[in-house]
Amino acid sequence: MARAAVRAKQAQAAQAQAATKPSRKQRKHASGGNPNQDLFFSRLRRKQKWVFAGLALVFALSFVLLGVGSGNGGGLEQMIQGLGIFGNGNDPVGKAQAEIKAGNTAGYKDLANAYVTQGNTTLAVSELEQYLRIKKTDSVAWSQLAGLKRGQADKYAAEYQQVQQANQLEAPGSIFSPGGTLAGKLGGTNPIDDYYNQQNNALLSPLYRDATTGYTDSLAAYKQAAKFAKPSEQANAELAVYLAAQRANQPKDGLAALKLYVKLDPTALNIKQIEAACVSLGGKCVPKHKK
Amino acid sequence: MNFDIQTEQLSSEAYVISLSGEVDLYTAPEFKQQLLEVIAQGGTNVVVDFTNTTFIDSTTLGVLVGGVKRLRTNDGQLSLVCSDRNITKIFEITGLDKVFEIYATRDEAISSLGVPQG
Repeated sequence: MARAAVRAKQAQAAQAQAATKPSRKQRKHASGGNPNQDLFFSRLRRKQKWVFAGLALVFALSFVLLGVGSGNGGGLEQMIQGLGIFGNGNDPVGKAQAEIKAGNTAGYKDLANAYVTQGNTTLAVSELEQYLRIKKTDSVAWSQLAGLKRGQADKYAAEYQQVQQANQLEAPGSIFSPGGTLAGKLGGTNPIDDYYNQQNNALLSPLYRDATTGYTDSLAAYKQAAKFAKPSEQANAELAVYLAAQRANQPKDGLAALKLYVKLDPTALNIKQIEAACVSLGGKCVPKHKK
Repeated sequence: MNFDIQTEQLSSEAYVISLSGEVDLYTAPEFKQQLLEVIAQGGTNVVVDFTNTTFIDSTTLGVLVGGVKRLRTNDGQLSLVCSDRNITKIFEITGLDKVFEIYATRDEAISSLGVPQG
């Protein structure tokens, strides 16, 4: 009797369980999977914590090392390009890099042009300099380098002006403050103005240095371009040297360039004005036919 | 600003070439080609509009000088529109401000050609 009662209870329990069990359809996970089958990483996190932690670390490190998501075109992108998995396609940087790998010197110039198109002047300058170490007499490349250096210097000069203007706005007292003995009697300068002056001067000095260096480097490159220019382009190249000398505040170089310009193109449309410019620079440029 | 070039024909002889962005060693050849095309099509009164130009270099000056020489042989003229101080300064220090007619606005330059404006 007792056994029969136990069996009856077991049967009842089994029936009740079957009734509460969802159908096969209902058991399906919302996304179509089996809810009893956990996702790989969830199961790993619960059951093999050390493996999960290790994998998380590996992912984190590879993201950092490959620069995933940084958008700088480095890391993973360069690695894929380097491996040539997807070919170089229409990517000018990849094409130029392949040229360099193949031993083609012009690849450096192409790479510089590709960087110019991308707006990356620093890398473009670096590649052109690399190219010009090999092809020292390429006048066009020297002109390109000079133009890029000038562009960089212009940028620094513009930033310098901005900081200077900010200085005047943040520390206007310094403009009107007296100097010399009077300043000493008045008890020095305004500490707030001094603070901003110091802050901005710390920014101004490197910008001034970079702008000046940029213009000087640009002038040097334009001189090289003129030195190796084709005869038909020499006069214009000297005009470029003169303009660069004006920017770099190097009157001697400017005068030397104008003298050559007059010699090379004595019938230039602007010859009278160039003669006057020579006089203003403290020299004399007389075209051959006038001598 | 990216380089751009637009050419507009005002009459059978008058053209306006408008340049935007930097006109330098990289972009000046395109400008040269456009200027030569305009002259080849019979353009004798050419206006080069630098209103939206941010920079010019000696290559640009070379193209302009070459253009004015060609136009003068056909009794033509090359005028410039330029209001940017940095660009006008380049014309001044090279003495080319005396070679070209430089106008502050496009309308002034077109008026000087005697072409009715639309």
